[in-house]
Parts: sequence; C-alpha cells; structure tokens
Amino acid sequence: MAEPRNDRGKGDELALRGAFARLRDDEAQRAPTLAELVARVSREDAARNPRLVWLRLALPLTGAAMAGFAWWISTSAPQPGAPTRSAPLIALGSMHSPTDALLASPLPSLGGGFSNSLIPAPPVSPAPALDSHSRTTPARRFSV
Amino acid sequence: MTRPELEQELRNMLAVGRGWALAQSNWNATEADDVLQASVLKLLDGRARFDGRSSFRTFAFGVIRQTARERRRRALVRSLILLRPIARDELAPRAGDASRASAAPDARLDHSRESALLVAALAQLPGRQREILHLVFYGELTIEEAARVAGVALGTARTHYARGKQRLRELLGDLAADRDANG
Repeated sequence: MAEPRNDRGKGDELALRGAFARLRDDEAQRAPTLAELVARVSREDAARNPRLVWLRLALPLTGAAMAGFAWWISTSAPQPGAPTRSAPLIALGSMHSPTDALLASPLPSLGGGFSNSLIPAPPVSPAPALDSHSRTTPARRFSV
Repeated sequence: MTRPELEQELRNMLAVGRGWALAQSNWNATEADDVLQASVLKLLDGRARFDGRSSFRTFAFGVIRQTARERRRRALVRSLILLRPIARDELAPRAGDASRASAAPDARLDHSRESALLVAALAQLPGRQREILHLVFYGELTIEEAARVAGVALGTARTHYARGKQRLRELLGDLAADRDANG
C-alpha cells in the first residue's frame, strides 16, 4: 500500500529537521563565547600595517601642501616697483612657438625689429547691405 | 533593552548566529567569525538598535546578513581598486558551485559525514531557497520571520521553502547514492 503524500511530506520534513539539528550540534561545539568574540582580533585588524597608516596620513598632507602652495602663488601680489612676474608668463603662455614670441616683442636695438605689421592684414569684405525686408534687421519697430 | 539583557540575548543566539554567519560566508569559518564579531559589536555599541518590532533573533539574523553583505561589497571594491583577483571566499556563495562546495566542506570544517552532505547539498540550491531553509530549519524561525530576515514577501518565502525542501531532498538522495557508490 502506497504511503499517503501528506505523511511522506511530514517524514521528509522531520528528516531534514534531524539533519539540520546534527549540523547545528556540530557547529555549536565550535561557537565562541561572547567574551571571546568581542576580544578576538579580526582578520582586518591583523592585516592593518602601521606603515600604511603613515602612508594614509602622508597622502592627504602632501595634497593639502600642494593646494596651499598653488593658492599662495595665485594670490600673492607683486611688490611696488618690482618687475611684474605675471606679464611674461602670460605672454609666453599665450604664444604657440618661440618665433611667435619674437614677432610679438619688438627689439629696439635692431631698429624696430620684427613686428606684426609685416604680416599683411586679411582683406576686409564689405558688409552686405540690409534691405528693408530682411529678417536680420536688428531692431524691431513698434507702432503705438 | 538594558545592556545585561542584550548580552544575555546575544549569548542565547550565538551558536545559531554563527551558523547563519557561516551560511552567509560560504562556510568559511574565519570569515564567518569576522562577520559575527562585527555584527555583535554593532549590536553592543548601539549602531544596530533593537526596537522590539520583531523577535530579537530575527533582528540579529538581519544584522548578520546585512554585515556579511557589506563585507562582500567592501571586498569587491577593494579588489577593484587594488586590481587583484577577489578570493572566492569573499564572494557570496552561488548556486551551481556543486563541485567546489562538495569538496570544500570537508576541508574547511570538520563536519560529520552527514553534515558535510547537507552542506554540500545546500550549496547547490539557489541563494534564496538556501537562505529560507537555513533560517527555518537551522535557525528555527517561522517562515514569516525568515521572510523578514531575507527581505522577501511571505508568499515568496513559502514558495522558496516548498521548492527548496523538495530540491534538497533530491540532492541529499543523489549525494548519498554517490557516496555509497564511491565507498
């Protein structure tokens, strides 16, 4: 006679409960006490290297020092009478090549030297005439 | 809950809590102890506060699960930053890792053969089924409490429970047959 399905299910559940209970008993022997658990050194604590602590401190300090220096450079004003430091830097920074820098700075000892006036200006085309019906008329007229 | 009451509750659930931490750590005992320690410290120093809306065991199991997830996420991020391959133990146990799981328990934990079979069979279940079965059978929670710990609806938990039970029974039968055949 076949075993009823309900009874078989209950039997399976009991068997599973028994298997889990054995596993729980196995593990219970190895479980630490609360005091042992709180006092134990975790793997992360053990792996923490004191040299790395210095590295963690040194990196932000270096970054802060660099930021402070950059701020000091950008905000320090030139002294009265002293040659300006920023002008040549800006001029050089805006040039594409040393030749451009030479062209931009006339040399008086060479009688005028080179200048941008040697470069012919591009032809200027006449502005197109605006007719009265053009949509590009800049100003609108309003009648009252 | 006063401090002595909290400590007493923790003592009462420490053994089953460790089992739950083991299940969350792919049965790696060292990782499980780290998870359990971090969870207990969270409860003791008030970072995880029990508000009495559920049983303490349900709450503590939820804290352990959350802690294990945080540690896995942190290990993943660390491995990405340091460009090192992540250790398998640091990842969540996955279903279908049958060959590794069946070989691992004997090496990792000195289980009895019956328990080793059960651990190997559990490792082959999908994660949700494994969690629900573990919480109900090992943690002795109700299905409703297990659903709360696992963060799923009660109906979903019931489905996982029924399917997981059936699958576990089949797997245990297969593994026992294999063991008998291999002597």
